[in-house]
Amino acid sequence: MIAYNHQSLDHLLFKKEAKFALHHKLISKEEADAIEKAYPDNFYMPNLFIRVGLFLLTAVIILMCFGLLCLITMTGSDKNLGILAFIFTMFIYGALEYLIYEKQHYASGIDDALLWLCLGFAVATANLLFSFIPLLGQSLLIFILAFYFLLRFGNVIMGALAYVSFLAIVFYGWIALGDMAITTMPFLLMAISIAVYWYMSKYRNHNRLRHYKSCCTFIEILALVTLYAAGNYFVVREVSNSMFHLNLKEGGSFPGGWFFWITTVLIPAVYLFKGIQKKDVILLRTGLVLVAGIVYTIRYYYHVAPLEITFTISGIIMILIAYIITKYLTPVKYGYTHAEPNDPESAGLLQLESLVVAQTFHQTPANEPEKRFDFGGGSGGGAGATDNF
Amino acid sequence: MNIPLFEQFHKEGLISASSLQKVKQRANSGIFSVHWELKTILYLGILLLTGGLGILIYKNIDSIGHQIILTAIGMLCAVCFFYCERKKLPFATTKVPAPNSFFDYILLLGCLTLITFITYLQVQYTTFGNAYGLATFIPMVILFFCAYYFDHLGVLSMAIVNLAAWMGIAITPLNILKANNFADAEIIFSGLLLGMALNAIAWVSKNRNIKAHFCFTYTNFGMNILFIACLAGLFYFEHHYLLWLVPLACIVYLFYKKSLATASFYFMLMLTLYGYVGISYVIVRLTMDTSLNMGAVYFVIMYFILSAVGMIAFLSRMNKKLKQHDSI
Repeated sequence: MIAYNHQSLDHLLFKKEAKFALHHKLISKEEADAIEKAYPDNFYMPNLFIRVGLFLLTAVIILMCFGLLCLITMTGSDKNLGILAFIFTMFIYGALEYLIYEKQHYASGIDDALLWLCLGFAVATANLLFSFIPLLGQSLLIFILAFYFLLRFGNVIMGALAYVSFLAIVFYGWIALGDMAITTMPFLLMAISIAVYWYMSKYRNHNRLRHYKSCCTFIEILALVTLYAAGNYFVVREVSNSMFHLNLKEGGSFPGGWFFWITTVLIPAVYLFKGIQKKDVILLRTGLVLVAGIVYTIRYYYHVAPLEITFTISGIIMILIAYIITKYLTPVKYGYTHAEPNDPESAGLLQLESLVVAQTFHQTPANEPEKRFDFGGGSGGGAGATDNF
Repeated sequence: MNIPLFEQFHKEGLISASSLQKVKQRANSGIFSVHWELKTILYLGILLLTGGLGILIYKNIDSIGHQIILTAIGMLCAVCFFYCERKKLPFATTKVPAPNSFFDYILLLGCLTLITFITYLQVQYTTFGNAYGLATFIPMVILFFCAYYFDHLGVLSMAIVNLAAWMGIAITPLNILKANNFADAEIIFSGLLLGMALNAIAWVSKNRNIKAHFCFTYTNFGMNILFIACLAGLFYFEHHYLLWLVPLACIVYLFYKKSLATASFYFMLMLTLYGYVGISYVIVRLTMDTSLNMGAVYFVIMYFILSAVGMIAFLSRMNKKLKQHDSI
């Protein structure tokens, strides 16, 4: 099913495990080298930075070729352009399969670019050939393509796209059923999210799905987020207000709104609790991020305190939480530690962190006559260099 | 960890029994580190706290309340620096590790509150006079001092950004006096100067071994500023833009050498992209100046297709070259 060479993919996984073990000093350097030698892969996998460059350049080539063909054929009508786009889709797909099969490209940047462009051109083809496609049809089209690409290339982005477009299909399909659908929509989406999460977490480590592991993980995270979004008061209220024309007044609630207040607060709490209980990184981190969702939702509807007071107080609380947990875990408790995991990427992370610090904490006064000082954090500016890391 | 896999390795004689034992032990230990979670919470906490305090002073600047806030900030700052001073390991010109994982963040909080404090003093009492630039110059000096004294990459990055702001600001007010176009050129030249200065500092750090691990941060900022200044020169100067190809080519060449010497994929990518943008701009502009109408468009498109293919070939070759270098 997957286009890449199975054996090479397997060997790549083996070597990754060996590298991890070597880094944690579980196996010796000689043993790691022996494993490296015993399981060769012949993928063309350039360095990450080179991959970025190849990605951009491939996109330039494909788009310019399309532009050139458009110019030569001088077609103004959508139909002809659609046919051209279709030919291009086929051509890109052919090139992708060829590069993977013959040249053993794997995550080289070129294959990524071709994959994304192929999807883009396929969707463009459909839209050019058929003048009007309803949203349900669009979602269905994207889902079919993304799902196929997911199975064929094990690409994480395609996995995410397939999941999101699947939810969109459900959304637009269910809406058509009328009033009953509008009330039940959040519950349906929540049920689907739970089902997908459960399924992914169950089969993520399954051996047969080993080449899709990162896709499963990503979809798992997305499912947790969509579960929260479907139960979040802000999302439910604003989406139903704008899409179904409920004409809610400012501050007015909608029928059953209290239920969504409960889920807004409860879902992240459950994630955190389960994450701590099961030592599940995904649940724990998603839960932490979604706590911001709770704060945002509450602040949006209830003016508890001015922004700067909220900032200051929540800042103090967060610093205290971090401090207390660190003190609490100072001898390792219940298998939890605050010590730094021995990560191979930590040197690079440190450089990245310093750039983030420079970007977010640029506090110096920007001395312009009318705006003499600017205490607030968060504003970047400065040498635009940091964006380019 | 995939235990069956390591058992298979052991069976094939690739790893010893003791290694297998270690792997099994690790897999069953179940130690879970919340290091990054805690760090992120702490980081966001500091971001919110300093941001909140900043706005708080700004809004209360004319009321009595702001003095209380100011005292609080001053005390917070003093506590942070007191803590850092007590905990820090002795100064050395080489890399000094942080005594614990929260030291870095407390120092960050200290530096940020100090800057808020100084900015307040300047705004309210113009403590540092009206000479423009001084209000940025002093925080910059403090940040550089802290970065070296406590060995902190984040503070160093802030200091460099401040340095850039200071150089920009010391020149921008002239904007009012001069014609706008000309003043923009000043920024381009000061960008070049700043870039060269940062690269010089990087070089000195490395060669004299004064905090050699700061080298990358300096070079990274310096490189980006240099390239951006060069490209800005290309885009901005109407008549002499071709001249800007000379410094651009020099910088590309120098960083090409540096990239090979340090086996850095990152510098290689950046110089390729910046250089490509520069050359492409000149070629497109030259073509558009000719009197070919549609021909020019065809030519430009063909140029992009062929040059991008060439660039892909170049990057692939460099990938190979740097990888070999890596293994030496």
